[in-house]
Amino acid sequence: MLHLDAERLAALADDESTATERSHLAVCAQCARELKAYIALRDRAYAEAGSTAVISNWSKLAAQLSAEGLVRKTAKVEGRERRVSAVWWVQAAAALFFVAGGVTMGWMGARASASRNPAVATSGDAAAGSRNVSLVAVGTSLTDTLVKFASLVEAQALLTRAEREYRQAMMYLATNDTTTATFRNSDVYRARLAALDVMAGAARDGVNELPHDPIMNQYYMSTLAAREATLRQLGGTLPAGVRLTRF
Amino acid sequence: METDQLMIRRAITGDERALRHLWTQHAPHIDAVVRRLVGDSELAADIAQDVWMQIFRALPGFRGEAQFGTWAHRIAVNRTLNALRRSRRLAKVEADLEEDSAMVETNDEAAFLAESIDQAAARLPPRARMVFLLHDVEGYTHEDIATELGITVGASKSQLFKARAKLRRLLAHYVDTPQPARNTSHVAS
Repeated sequence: MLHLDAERLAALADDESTATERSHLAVCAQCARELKAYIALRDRAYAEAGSTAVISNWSKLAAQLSAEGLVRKTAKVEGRERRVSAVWWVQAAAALFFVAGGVTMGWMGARASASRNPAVATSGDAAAGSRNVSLVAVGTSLTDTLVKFASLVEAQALLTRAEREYRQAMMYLATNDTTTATFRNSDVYRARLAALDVMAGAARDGVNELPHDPIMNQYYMSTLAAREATLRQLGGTLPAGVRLTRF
Repeated sequence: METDQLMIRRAITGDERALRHLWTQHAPHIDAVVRRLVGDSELAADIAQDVWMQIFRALPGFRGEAQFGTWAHRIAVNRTLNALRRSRRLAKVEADLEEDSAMVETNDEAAFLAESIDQAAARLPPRARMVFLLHDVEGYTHEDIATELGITVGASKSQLFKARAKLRRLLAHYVDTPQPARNTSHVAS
């Protein structure tokens, strides 16, 4: 058989050889050597896919990201980085998490205390409520003044009112706030909506499991409020005349 | 990578440090892809900036189905090819160049021995070079390349094998020991 041509040998670095080609390669040292060289070339090329010097420039990227609203500005103040324009919904979410976390700790602490100490359990809601109040106070005392409640009913009423006002504030800010950074890119809102859908699904499951549990209900309602606020923000990123029908 | 997942979540919220972390970790590889595909270093730097902006814009759509590096690599290749098309480099090639004739070497080239695969690849016709880089360096399949470049799978293979044949000569000292004179009188056509 004639020697294999260069392009065929180059192809055989990837392709399966035919029976005739295999027979030839078995007896032709020249073609076998060439094939080996092509395989070495291919392997070296792949090995060259490594890293080289960086040619992009972070300073320019940071400026452009900032111009497009994709980055929150940070500034160094007295040697320590401090956020200069916190986004309101992050603050709101953090506040919700903190308050709800404190309430949950109090609720769980009261339950645990009651189960460990039958005396507490039999002494009624007042003892559990007392324990609950003290832990709520721990949860909120880092940012607020100590709030004291006279009864469980009073605490629950405040929680319900705060949760309602929180949702209303979220909606108001989503609709009216033009001072804080907003993302021009609707993908940010779509991604947040997808995450909130997952969270809402989990909270909904919790509500189905514990329909009268105030924590579950508050998480669920707050997630829905955040979702609604984000939908409004997403709507705000769309061109005039375009109506959001799905994300 | 666990850290990447955390950084991506933070970067999506606009955390500058997280965005910078992703850039620091992946720029060496992403920029290398751009530089290889573009060749010209000044243009490559501009396109690399554009690639990174596109990566950050697309970040909320990253679903974590692939590694961040793989996902970003794909964006880098797509964006670079688009940029090259816009700069009319590929367009000119696609419209005007007869690749087969471009494979014919000049006397100058016959004596040229490259010092690296990059240097040798720079001597290839643009489309053959692109196919070679995408397939052998970046690991794309012929199907992917055909889609990216708007050519057939067969054309992609053909360009690759021609590119390898030329590179094999340019890089003879690189991939093997000195070759004995090849008897071309019985080379199959």
